[in-house]
Amino acid sequence: MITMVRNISRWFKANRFMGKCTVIGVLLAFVAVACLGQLASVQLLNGKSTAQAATASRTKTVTISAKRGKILDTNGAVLAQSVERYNVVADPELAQTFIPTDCTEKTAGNCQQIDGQPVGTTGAAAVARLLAPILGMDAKELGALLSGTGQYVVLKKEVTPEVMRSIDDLGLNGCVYGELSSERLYSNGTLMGALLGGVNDEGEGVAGIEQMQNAVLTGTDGYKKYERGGEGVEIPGTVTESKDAVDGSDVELTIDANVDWYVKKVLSDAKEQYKADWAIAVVQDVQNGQILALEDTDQYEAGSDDAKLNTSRAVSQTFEPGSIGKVFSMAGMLQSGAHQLTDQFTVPGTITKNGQTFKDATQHGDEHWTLAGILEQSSNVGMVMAGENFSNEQRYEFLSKFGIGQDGLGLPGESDGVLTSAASWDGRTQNTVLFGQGYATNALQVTNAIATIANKGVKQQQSIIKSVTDANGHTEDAKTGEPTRVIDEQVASQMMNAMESSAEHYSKFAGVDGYRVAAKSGTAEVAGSDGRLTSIISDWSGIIPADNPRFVVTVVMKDPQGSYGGLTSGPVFKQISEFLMQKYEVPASTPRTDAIAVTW
Amino acid sequence: MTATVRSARSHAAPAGREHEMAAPAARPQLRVVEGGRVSGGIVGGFHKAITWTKTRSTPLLHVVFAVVFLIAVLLGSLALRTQMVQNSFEASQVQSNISKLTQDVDDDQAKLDALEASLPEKAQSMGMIPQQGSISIDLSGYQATGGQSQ
Repeated sequence: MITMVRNISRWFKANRFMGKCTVIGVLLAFVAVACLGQLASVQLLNGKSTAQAATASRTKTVTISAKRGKILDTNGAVLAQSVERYNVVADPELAQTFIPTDCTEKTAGNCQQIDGQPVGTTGAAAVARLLAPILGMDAKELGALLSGTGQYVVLKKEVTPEVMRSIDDLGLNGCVYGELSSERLYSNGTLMGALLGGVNDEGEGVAGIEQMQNAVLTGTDGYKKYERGGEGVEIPGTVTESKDAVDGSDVELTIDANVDWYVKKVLSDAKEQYKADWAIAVVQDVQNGQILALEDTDQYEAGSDDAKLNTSRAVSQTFEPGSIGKVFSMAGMLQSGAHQLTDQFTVPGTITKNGQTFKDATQHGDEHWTLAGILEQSSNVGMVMAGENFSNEQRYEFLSKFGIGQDGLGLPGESDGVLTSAASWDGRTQNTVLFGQGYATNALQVTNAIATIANKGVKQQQSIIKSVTDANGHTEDAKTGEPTRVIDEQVASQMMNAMESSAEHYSKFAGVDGYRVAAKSGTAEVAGSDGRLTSIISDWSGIIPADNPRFVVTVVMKDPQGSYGGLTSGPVFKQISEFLMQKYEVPASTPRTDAIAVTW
Repeated sequence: MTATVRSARSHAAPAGREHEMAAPAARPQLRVVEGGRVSGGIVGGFHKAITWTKTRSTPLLHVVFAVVFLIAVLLGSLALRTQMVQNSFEASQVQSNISKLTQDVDDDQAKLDALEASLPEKAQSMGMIPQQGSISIDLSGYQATGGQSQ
C-alpha cells in the first residue's frame, strides 16, 4: 500500500502537468455528476410535479360571456339588443415609464406620433396625449388619471371595438388595454321607454320587460382553459377544457313598433293640444288579447335611469274610469236578468238614495230613456235607478269578472288598482260603483274589460310577450291563461249595440269614416295634487269595427282642456283607429240596421 | 499472421449418376479471396459489422430501412407538429378576425336598426303624414259598360 502511494507520488512528481489536469478533470466530473443528479432530480424524480406547476402557472381559465337576448316587436324589429364594448383600462405605473418611439423609416409601424409630429413628451403625459383624440376626452383629464398610483384605473367605459382597435394600434406597450364588456342598445329612444326598462352594470334587467323577462334573456356563460404566452395571449393548441357560452333567448313582444310610434305621436300631440298633464293609450287585439301598443306621454329613454326608476304609466297609473264603468255594471244587469236594454225609465236630473244625492253631468228634466238610452246619455241617475234589482254582491262580482282590480301582465311596478269588497262599500260607494267611481283601475284593465264585450263575452288573458326564441332558433309561443266567459254572447251583442249608440253620440268628434264604432266615454273627478277632487280623468274606450271587432283602443287623459272624455280622448281614439284601419287594411263596415231604441 | 481462406463453390446442381458418367464436370476455377480474417482496429470492427449484417437474420438493408424509417418518422412528426402549430396560429388569427368582424357586423346592425326605427320620425320631419281616413269604393249595383278595354 505504502509502496503504491509512493509510486503515485513519484508519478505526479514526474508528470506535474498531467497531475493538475487530472485533478481539474476529477473536479469537473464531480460538477457534471452533480448536474446530472440535479437533472435527474428535476426531470425524473420531481419531473411530474414540476411540469404540472409550470403548466398551472401559464394556464388560465377565461369566462366566455353569453350575449343577452334581444327584445323584438311583433314584426321582428329590434327594440333592444346587446353589443360588445370595451372598458379602457390603464396601468398608471407602467404608463409613467412610457417613452414614445419617434417615427422614422426604421420604426415605421411601431412608433407614436400626433398629427405627423413627435409626441414631444414622455410618461403619462405622452400616453394621455395619444389617447385623448381617440377617446374623445381631455388630455389633462386623462393625464391626471394616468399620473395616479396603482396599476389599474378605468379611463372610459363602453367604447366601441373600433376605438379599442385604434388604441391597440398605438403600441403603448401594454399600459392601456381593454376589458370586454357589453352595452344594451335601444333602437327606438323614448318609445316604450319605461315599458322596456333597462339593465344594470352587470347586464341584469332591473326594470320593465328587461326585468320581467330577465331569466329568459340572460344566457349561460361558458369558459375556456388554455395556456398563455408571455403577453397573456393564448398559445394555440393548448386549450384543455372549454364550454361554449349559450346566448340568452330573444323575446318577441306583441307590440307593433309602428303602431306604438304612431300612438305615442298622437298622444304627445293631444297632450299639447288639450294641455293635459299626461295621456295614456292602449291598443289591444280583440281576438287574442295581445297588446299592440302601450304608450303614454312620458319621455323616458329606454335604458336610462329614468326608465329604470319609473314604471310605464300605462300599467302603473290607476284612476276611476268614470262612465266607462257603466258598461260593466249594465252588462252585469243584463247577464243577471235584472234588466233588458229595452226597459223603459223616466230619468230625472237628480236622485237621492241612502241619503246621498246623485246627479247627471248636465241638468235635465224627466227624460224617457230606455236602458240603452241611459248608457247613450251616460246618465248616473239612470244607472242608480236601474241598479234597484242589482245587488251589491252582483255589482262586485261582475266588476271582478271583467278584471277590475285583478292581476294584469305581471310587469314590474304594475298596479292592479283597487276594488274593495261589497261589504266595505258605504251608502254612496255602493251606487257610485254603478257609474265607474269608488274603485280604481288602470288602462289595461279597462281595455280588456271592453275587449271582453267585443269578444262575445269571453275574456282573453292579455299578453305582451308573443314568443321566445332560444339560441338554437327554437321558438316557443308564450303561454297565456285560459279564456273565461264573463257574459253570454247575446248579452255581449246587446252591449255592443248600446255602446254603438253611445259612440254615435260623439260621432262628430270620435267617428271613423267608413267604420262602425262601439264605445263609451268617461269623465271622473279625482284627487289633484292638493288632495281634493280638483282633477279630471277623461277617458274613452272603443271597439272598431263594431260589426266585426278587431281592436279595442283606450285613451286616458288627465286634466285636459275640454274635460269630457268624448271631446278630448275621443278624437285621439279616432286618429289611432284611422291609422289601424289603414295599416291592417280592415274592410269597411256594413251599415247599422239593428239599433236598439234609446228613448220611448 | 495472415491466413488465406480458400473457398471453392460449385454452381453445378447435384447431378445424377448418368450425367456424371456421361461427361465429367468442369472443375470450377479457384481464386484467392483476400480479407477474411482482417487485422484488428476500427477497420476490423467495421468489417465485422458488415459481416454481421450480411448474416441472414440481420441483413444490412433491413437495418438501413429501419434507420431511414425512424429518421423519416421523426422528421415527419416534427414537420407535422410544426405544421399543426402553424395551422393553430392561423386558426387563432382567423378566429380573432371572425370575432372582430362579428363585432363590426353587430355594431352596424345596431346602427341600422336605430336608423330603421327612426324612419317614421324622419318621414314626419320631412313633412310626410300618415294617410288619414279610408277610401272605399262601393261597387254594389255597378254594371260594367259594354265597351272593351283597350
